[in-house]
Amino acid sequence: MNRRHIFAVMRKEWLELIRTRTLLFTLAFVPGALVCLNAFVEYSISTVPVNAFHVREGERLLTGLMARYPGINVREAAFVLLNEQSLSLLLVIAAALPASIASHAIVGEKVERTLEPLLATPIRTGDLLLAKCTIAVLPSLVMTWLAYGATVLCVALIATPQVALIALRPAWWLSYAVLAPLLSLASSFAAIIASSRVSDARTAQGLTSFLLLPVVGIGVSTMMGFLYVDVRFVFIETFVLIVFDAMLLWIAVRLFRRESILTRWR
Amino acid sequence: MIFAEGLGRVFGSYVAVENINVDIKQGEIFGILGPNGAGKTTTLRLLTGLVGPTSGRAEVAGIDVAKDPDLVRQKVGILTETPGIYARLDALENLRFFADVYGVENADVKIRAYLERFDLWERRREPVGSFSKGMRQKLAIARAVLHEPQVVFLDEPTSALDPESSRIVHELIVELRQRGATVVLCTHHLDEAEKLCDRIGVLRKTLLHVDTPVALRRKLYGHFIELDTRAPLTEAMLAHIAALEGVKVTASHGTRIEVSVADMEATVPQLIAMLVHEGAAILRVAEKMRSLEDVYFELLRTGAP
Repeated sequence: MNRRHIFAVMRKEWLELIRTRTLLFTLAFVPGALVCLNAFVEYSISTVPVNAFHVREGERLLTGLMARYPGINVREAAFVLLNEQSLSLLLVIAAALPASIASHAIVGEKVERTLEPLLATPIRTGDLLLAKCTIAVLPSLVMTWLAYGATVLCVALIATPQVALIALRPAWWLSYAVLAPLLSLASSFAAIIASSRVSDARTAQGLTSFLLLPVVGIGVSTMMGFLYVDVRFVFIETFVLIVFDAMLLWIAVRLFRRESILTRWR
Repeated sequence: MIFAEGLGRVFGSYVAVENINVDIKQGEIFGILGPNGAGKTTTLRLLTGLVGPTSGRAEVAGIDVAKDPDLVRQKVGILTETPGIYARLDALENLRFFADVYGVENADVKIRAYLERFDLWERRREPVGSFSKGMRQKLAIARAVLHEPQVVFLDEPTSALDPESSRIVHELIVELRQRGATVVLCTHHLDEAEKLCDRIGVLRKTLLHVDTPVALRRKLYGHFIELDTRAPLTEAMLAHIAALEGVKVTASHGTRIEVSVADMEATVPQLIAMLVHEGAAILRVAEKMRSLEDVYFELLRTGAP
């Protein structure tokens, strides 16, 4: 590992990222829009009187939450349900954002014909991928964490402190502290795998999404209420993601060959 | 400095290059001439460790390109066929990135010197995306030599440049040689190759012939002598010339004749002495060379002289 090479590539990647409007827009807009949408729906719920909510038999999600958190009323259960779905979706976004940046970082070099001079330098493949992944992952993670913080703040301001505490329970902050980075890494590695086989960013992103389907499936399951995010769930998913990340990294390093990238990409 | 023995590369059933044998010395400017698809890019990629050989071996700066390509890349600088400059970064940032990668000492001073040399200093803070093709090419050349590599590979360095910029690049190439660097120059400009290169290799899948520009022309066409006389040579004089061993009259236009000679040193004094003896008033004797362009096309047509 050559730190000078890694920092040089990271600096270059960062300069390119902050000057690519589409990527900046994606990075800021997607989490920002989710926070705003969540705040708007929460505000709408907050305007409805508690006694206007009628929980019918069989409304499993709300009754389940009221059973899990004794003491919350039906409106608070609606807040919690909304937050659980938003925070799950935000985790899926934490996986999606690095894919956009990583796909562009590698396929973009080929499209702009800068890859050959870069590969002609003594930078080793592992250092190059590490630097590119870092710049794909870090900004996405920061945005995800900011969005999580903003969501919890909105919950505290619009809903009730009790609902905010549920959004701040260990299962969620552990998810954002541990699962979000692992998801981002998985996404970056998947983007590298896709990028080493295709020659345009959109196809790379499409292939990345396909590789990330298992992760998205888990996120959707939590949103639909089939899975509940508790500490046990976080530990299991952490273990699964570590294995998944290791597998993707292994494949990415083997597929990212200077020679095949230079001679096969047209 | 560069040594290749039986070097070849096959992609599936497609032979990109084969059986390349060459030994390029330190401080030499070696030109590679060849038509499109001749294998110039693959040869450069093989010698810079970007692709591995399927046959033979090569050493650059004493390092086997297949065994330690990363170390080879540390020792060489390469200008690829497209400039490959980061369009969103400015000129300074582009060069700074490569200076950081190669660990260039006094990078700021060197970067400034190259940007000034190529008349880019005033525009150093502008995104390279706004640069003309020639400006990008000059920046890419600066990038290739910024870390003062032992071996420099230049693929069509003057292809997008105006005559003034081409001249600056030619001066830089000569300067690299004076500094002791070895330069491999791929070019379509035959005059550029002839002017700069110590030796030239004509490539078409393999190196058809390698020699100095002058030797290449002589080996292919032999030696030609052009004689100007005060009066046209008589039939008898022409017959005497033709009777000399290894001499042939190839053209005769009034007071000027052209003869081919097999052995310059042995035959020319004999020829001149004979004509003077016969009473010819010789005004001028000069060796006439075929152009490198003629040699190039002949080599491509016949495969070898």
